[in-house]
Amino acid sequence: MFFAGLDIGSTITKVVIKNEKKICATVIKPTGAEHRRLAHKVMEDALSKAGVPFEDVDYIIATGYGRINVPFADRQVTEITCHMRGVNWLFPAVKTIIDIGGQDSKGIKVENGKLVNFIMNDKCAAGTGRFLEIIAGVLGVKLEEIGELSLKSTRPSDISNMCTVFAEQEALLRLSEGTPVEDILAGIHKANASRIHSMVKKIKIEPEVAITGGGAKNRGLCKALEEKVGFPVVVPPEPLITGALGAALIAGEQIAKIDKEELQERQKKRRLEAVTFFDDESTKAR
Amino acid sequence: MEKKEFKTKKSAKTLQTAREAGYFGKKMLTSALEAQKEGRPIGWSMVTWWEGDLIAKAMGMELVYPENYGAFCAAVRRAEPYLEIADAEGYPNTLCGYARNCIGYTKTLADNNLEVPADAPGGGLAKPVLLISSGAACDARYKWFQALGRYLNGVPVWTLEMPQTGLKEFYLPGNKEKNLAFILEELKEFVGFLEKLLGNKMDYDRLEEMLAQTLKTLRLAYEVDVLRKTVPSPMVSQDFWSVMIPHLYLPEDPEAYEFYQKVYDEVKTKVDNHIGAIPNERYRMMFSELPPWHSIGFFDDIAEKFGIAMVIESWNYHAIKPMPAEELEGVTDPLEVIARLSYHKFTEDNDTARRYDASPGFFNARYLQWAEDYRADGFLAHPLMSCRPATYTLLHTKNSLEEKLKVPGVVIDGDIIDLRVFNPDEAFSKMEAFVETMDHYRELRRKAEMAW
Ligand code: SF4
Repeated sequence: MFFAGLDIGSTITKVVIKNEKKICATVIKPTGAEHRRLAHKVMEDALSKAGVPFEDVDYIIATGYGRINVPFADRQVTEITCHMRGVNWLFPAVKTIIDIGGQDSKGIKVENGKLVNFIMNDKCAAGTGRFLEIIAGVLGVKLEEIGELSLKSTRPSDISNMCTVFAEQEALLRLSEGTPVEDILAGIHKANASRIHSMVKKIKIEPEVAITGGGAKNRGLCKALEEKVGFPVVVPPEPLITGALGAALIAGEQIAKIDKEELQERQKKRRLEAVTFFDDESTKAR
Repeated sequence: MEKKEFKTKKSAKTLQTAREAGYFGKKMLTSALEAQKEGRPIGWSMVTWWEGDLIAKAMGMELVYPENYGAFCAAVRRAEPYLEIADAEGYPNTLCGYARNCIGYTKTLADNNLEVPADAPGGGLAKPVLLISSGAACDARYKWFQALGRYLNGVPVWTLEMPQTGLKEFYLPGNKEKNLAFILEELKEFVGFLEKLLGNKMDYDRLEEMLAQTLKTLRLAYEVDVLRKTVPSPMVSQDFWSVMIPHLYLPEDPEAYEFYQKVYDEVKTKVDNHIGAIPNERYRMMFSELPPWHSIGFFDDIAEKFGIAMVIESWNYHAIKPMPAEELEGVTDPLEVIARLSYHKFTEDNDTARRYDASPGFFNARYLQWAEDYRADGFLAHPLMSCRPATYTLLHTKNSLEEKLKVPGVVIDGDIIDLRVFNPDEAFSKMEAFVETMDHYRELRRKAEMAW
């Protein structure tokens, strides 16, 4: 039996295809307006990577920001639940998950695989990947390099502002004062970590702690967060796929609850087509 | 797969009486417009928890309530233009949504030579001769009506204070008496001021009549609250936020009392026949504190999808628990009865607060008591960027409920008026995840052998 999880995030789409024993394939692709609509292409990639025909997939769960109206998904589940399940499968001892996405960040508490509490920052760029993206642009450094660069700092500069707009101005000011870029970046990572930490603290941080999402790929941010949290944190080998993995795991459980005939009926109805949530005109690539 | 449609306008409401309650909102607005035609005085009043409005009404004033008007404008999706006017006038978007809506409206009134604009929602608020503000609750309430006065050619503003001592101080010897004496003194001053402003004397018989009616209405509204403890819940927040209008704004009106008899009967019939407000009640939640008036339909969505019944809500809008008989024994001055009534609103939960070792009584301990009484599975905290009093206790209450009663909470940011800060998709997502959290805590309560 095969089951799939599809996580359509604000910046990246991820697919995990699993069977009862193992992960058969994972695919991670950027999400733009057009790509988000074309999530079925990412699914096709994953299916061909796994060598599994679409018709053989028994259950598909969509999660993430763009999960609505995926014509080939059997069900949608919130990303909070999916992240929790994915991390719990990878690290059963983890009690606190800090997920740093492109547009939001979350704190999730888990106990014996159950969702105990969660908190989200979905209103403000501070404490999200977007914050770092803006600062990287201002400093002229590639986003994927800022973490490593910040680790070279010996004197992190003080960035007192949490607001993205003001932090951007502050970074520029430090630059004009001649502060080395790595020190500014270290300060920025500290400020971002501080923002995330104070949000997650509201649901009480308990060890073990896992960091997931795009932010977990930034070693500078993980280090700054680890310092704030006060104990070591774990990072999954591929921190971007925990949501899709959780979705695939839940899909696997769903199969057990559905009889064979219904499964076949569902499979017949599924269409591996473009997501219809976004209207064609406004999302066409130009 | 079906596209998810959010009901972004009005809620369906489950009670017939709730569907009829809009009559009272309209009645207030039209009565004031009629009074204007007849040359009778009109006042704009904040919710004063009966401190000021009964007195003004007994003096012959017709009152309208800008806070209620703000909720109305938001519910019919007509608040945005007023918010934009307030923005353009330089008021920050962190200022109370009711205040910004009202300032926006008042600017249109001032620009129209103080004639109510023909296209004003619900007929508009007629021009006042007095603004009655209240120090109870928040700082915005002191300044908002002062600002209004400037648009209204210097219409006077009278602010009524409400002493709000801390829990410990409340139990200090003599504290309550001093507070009551303070309120009584200022009510007397208010009467003196009104007599001068309106050129007539206070009709104390009329005030007593109004007060007696008010106490009757409040008691009946409270009895409806008691009925709501039943499982399944016979009435939900979507209903309450409509039926509250008469007891909050027109408790002295015999029609309000008659209305509550109908509400009571309808709810009682449901209780007797075990009929839930929503057909599939699976989770019972409490809501704190001020609702997103523009998106009440959201609660219908989560009821339909997850079986969530919002069983109790918004402490500040509820009728008081009846005062103990000894509280009014030998009290003959109606002004003192009013003082005791309003003071009771803010102190009635102090004993509960002591019992739970939680503070303040209102906004916090009340929800602990409610969680037990209403067998709550969860708490929906709705922080408002624009209202500190209805926000500052929310996380504290959420934590207290989790720690003391194993009732979890979820935080959904929004605003009473400004729909630009409410994200229904995100809110729906959070609720979907929160259902699992409620399941988990239900299991914890079961293991701890709690009553629900
Ligand atoms: S308490 Fe909140 S809603 Fe009421 S007037 Fe103050 S800021 Fe506005």
